[in-house]
Amino acid sequence: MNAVLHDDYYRPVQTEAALICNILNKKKTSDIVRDVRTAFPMPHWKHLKRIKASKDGTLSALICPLNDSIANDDSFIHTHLESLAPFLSSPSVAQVPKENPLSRQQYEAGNRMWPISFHEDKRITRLMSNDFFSSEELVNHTQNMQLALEAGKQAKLKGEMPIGCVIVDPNDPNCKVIGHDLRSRHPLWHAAMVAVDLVARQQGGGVYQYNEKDFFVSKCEVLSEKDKTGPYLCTGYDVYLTQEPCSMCAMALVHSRTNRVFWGSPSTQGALGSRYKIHVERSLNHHYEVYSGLLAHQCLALFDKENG
Amino acid sequence: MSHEDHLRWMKEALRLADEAFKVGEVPVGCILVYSHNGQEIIVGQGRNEVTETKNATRHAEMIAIDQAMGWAEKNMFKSASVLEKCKLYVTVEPCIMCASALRQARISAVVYGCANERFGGCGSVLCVSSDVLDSELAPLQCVSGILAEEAIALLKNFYKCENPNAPAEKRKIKA
Ligand SMILES: [Zn+2]
Ligand SMILES: [Zn+2]
Repeated sequence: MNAVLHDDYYRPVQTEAALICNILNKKKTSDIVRDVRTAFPMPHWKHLKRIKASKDGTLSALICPLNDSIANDDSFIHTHLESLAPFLSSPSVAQVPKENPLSRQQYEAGNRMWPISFHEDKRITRLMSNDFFSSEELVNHTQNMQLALEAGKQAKLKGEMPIGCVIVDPNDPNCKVIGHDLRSRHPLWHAAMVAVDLVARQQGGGVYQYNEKDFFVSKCEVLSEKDKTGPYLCTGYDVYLTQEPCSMCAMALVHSRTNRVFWGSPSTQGALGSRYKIHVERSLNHHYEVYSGLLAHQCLALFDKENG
Repeated sequence: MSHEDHLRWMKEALRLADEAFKVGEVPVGCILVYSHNGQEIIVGQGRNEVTETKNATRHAEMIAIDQAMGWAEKNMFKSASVLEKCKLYVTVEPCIMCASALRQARISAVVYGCANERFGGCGSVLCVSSDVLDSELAPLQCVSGILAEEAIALLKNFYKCENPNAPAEKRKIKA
């Protein structure tokens, strides 16, 4: 299982050229840092430290980004740093990381080029290290996906697209719906759409008309008119889908205020990792977490011709 | 299709949006127009029904598609052959879900009023209307800006008030 995060977290480190000088007299380091900061403030490069200490003990100072208006020679240093110029070597060019690191991986790669600061988001680090669920939680997620797999098998027996979906309230595991794809009857009755309507039915609404005896809808406290604290759409609920959902279904789960989505096998048109990443679209008003590849082999095997 | 035709159908869609506003739903309305033997017939219409159905996917467009399928069945047509000759008139750019649904239902074209900056699937947030998806799925033709001012006015009025049907702690005023 993998957490599916925004592409920004996986991007390789981009670099930019900068002007640097070695410090010839280490006693002058703090004076140099102070003057360089004043002469060349770098509002876009807040993540870059000013001094790099090499293994051989050499200290170098980051002067400024390299661009056309900068002369790469001693006179430039003399002009801007005046009295400290004698303590600096002739300038040279180095590649430095262009952007603030978002992940530990980006931090480590960037920091090897030039020292950078990193405000670690512990949650992201945990998600990227694939160490995010306890063994107890893993058992629970696996069991729920197994229920979705069973539903997918039922769909296959009926000649439907073999995709199953389970929606559960993680705080009340008895609050659950199980359904499967019905797109041969209606082009939009994909597994997730069917399950979202089952949740609506569970809450006293729902509109889809069919008679599937194997679908499951647990009882659930109905929202009373007076006390409006009952369930609201899929708020806080977890969704288990044997196949990555399309853009319609992924967005339906955004509208439904889903908490987390677990999917098994990828789809080339999938909207939670493969084709789009709708769950991390910044303009949307709701975002859910996505985990891919849970029981991936079994989920993919639903599409095999031979085993029914 | 002339601009006059667009205006005529869009006024119908606006009337539905206004109806939604009056019952406390997001004021979006739409109609599905089927071209048949040189004639144009309304085969589906919808407004948001999220609150009453407790199903957040019941946007105007989804309801209109269901109605058109019901119309086809009643008149002994194959629903697929009706949908592919339908044009949708909707007051606001369809969201990502609806744009994807319209395309997968093989609706031929969508004519809309104002853009949907937060959820739009015809270019505002994503381009699911025309991105290469499946080799067999034709792009959804889009025409925008028809009676946009009227559609915006309805939305502005709506978002001035909070949604009274959401549970208390989940109510949010959207900008
Ligand atoms: Zn789908
Ligand atoms: Zn929509």
